[in-house]
Amino acid sequence: MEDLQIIDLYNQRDENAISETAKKYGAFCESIAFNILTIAADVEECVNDTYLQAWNSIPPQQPARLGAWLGKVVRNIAINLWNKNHRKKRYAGMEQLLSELEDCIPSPITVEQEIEEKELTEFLNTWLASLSKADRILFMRRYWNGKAVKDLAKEYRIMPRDMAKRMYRLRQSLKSALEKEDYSL
Amino acid sequence: MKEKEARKLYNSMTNVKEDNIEEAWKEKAKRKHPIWIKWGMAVACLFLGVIAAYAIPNIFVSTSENGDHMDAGMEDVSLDGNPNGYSTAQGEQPANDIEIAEQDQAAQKQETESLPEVSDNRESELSEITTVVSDYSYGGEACYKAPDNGHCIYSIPLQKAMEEYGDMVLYKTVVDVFSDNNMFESNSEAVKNEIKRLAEIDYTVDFEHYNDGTMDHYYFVLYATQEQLTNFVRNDNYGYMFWLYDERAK
Repeated sequence: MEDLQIIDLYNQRDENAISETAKKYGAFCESIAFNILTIAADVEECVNDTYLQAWNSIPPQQPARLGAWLGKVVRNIAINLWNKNHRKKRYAGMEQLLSELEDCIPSPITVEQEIEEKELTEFLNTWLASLSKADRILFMRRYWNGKAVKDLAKEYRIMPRDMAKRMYRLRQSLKSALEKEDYSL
Repeated sequence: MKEKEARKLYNSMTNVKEDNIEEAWKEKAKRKHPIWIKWGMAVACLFLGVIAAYAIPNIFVSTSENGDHMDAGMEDVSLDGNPNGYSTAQGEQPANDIEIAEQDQAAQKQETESLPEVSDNRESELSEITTVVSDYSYGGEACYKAPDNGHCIYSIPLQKAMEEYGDMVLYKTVVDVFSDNNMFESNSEAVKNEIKRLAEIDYTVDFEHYNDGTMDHYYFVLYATQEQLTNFVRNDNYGYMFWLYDERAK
C-alpha cells in the first residue's frame, strides 16, 4: 500500500492503518530498534510504542515520508529506552556504536564553543551532503540504522576488515570537520 | 569519559534530513536479491540435485576402476571454457532494466574479448579432468586477514576441499588480489593484468561480469589443480585470497 493511502487510514481513524504500517515498515522499525537494544522483548515494546505514537500523532501530523518519519520515532523511543535501562541491562548494540563514535569527538584543546544538539544535527546534514553518495549511505546505515560492520561487508562483498577501515576513515573525516569549525560536543 | 559526547552525537543524528534516511533505507531495500534470483537459485539447486543423482553412480564406476575413492557432494560439470552461471538469468529482468542489461552484456562481451581465452590445448588437457569443485559444505564462519604482498590465503572451505579431493579434481575459484593489504576492485587494470599474466603462463583464467539489476559484479575466476594453487606463481607485489567459486559469487 502507498504511504498516502496508509496516512489516509490514520486520518480516517481506521485501525487497519497500524496493520498496514506494520506490514510495510515493521521489519525496518524492528531492525533499527534491534540494532540499538539487542533484546527482543524491548524491541517489540519499542516498535509497538512507535505504532501507538503514529496513531496518536497522525493527524494532525502528515508525514511527507512515512518511512523516514517512523524511523526517527522508533530511533528516539529506542534511545530513550536505552537511557532508561542501560544501567540494569547490557545493550550491546548501542554501546558498540557509541564506542566507535568516540573516535569523532574533537580534541578539547582546539575547541571554542559547545555545539547544541539541534545545531549539531544541522552540522551533520552539511557534512553528510559533502560526502559521496556511497559514503553517505554507508555512514547512515552504520550509525543511523546500526547495521553491523560484518553484515555491511558481506553485502558489499568486501572483507569486514576493509569495511571497518572505511568506517574509521569516515569517523576521522567527521572529527576533522568538527575540529575545523572549532566545535566541541 | 567520551561516552556522553558520543551519545549526544548519536542522538543528534536521529533528526538528520529525511532524504538521508530514505536514501540509506532504499539502498538497503534495493540491494536485496530480487525474488526471481531466489527462485532461480532454488531451481538451479534442484537441477544440480537431479544431475548429481545421475552423475554420482557414474563417478563411482569410473573411479572404482582406478581404485580411487571419491565422496558425493561434488559438482560434476564438464568445462566449456567460459562458464557463466548468470548469463541466462539476465533475460528475466524487469522490462525497464532490459536496455541496461543489454548494455551490460555488450560491456561484458567487450571485456571478455579483451582478456585471454582458454587455449585449445589447455582446454583438451582440462577436459580429461571432468570434475570441477566449486563448493564445499562447511558449517562455520571465518574472518580472514588480508594477505600480505607475496602471500596467498586459501579460504577454509577451499582448504577442506583440497584436503578431501587432493589433485583428482579441478577447483573453480574466485581470486581477490591485494596490494599492501588493500583489495583491488576485480575490474581494475591491476587485476586484468594479473589475469593476462597468468593466462600467459598457462593458468586457466576467466573474467566474469554480471549485473543483478541493481549493481555490477566482477569475478576473477581461476580453474586450478591443488598443485597449481599451493605452488601458485605469484607476483611478489600482490597478495592473493582464494575462495571456492560458490563462496564468493553467490
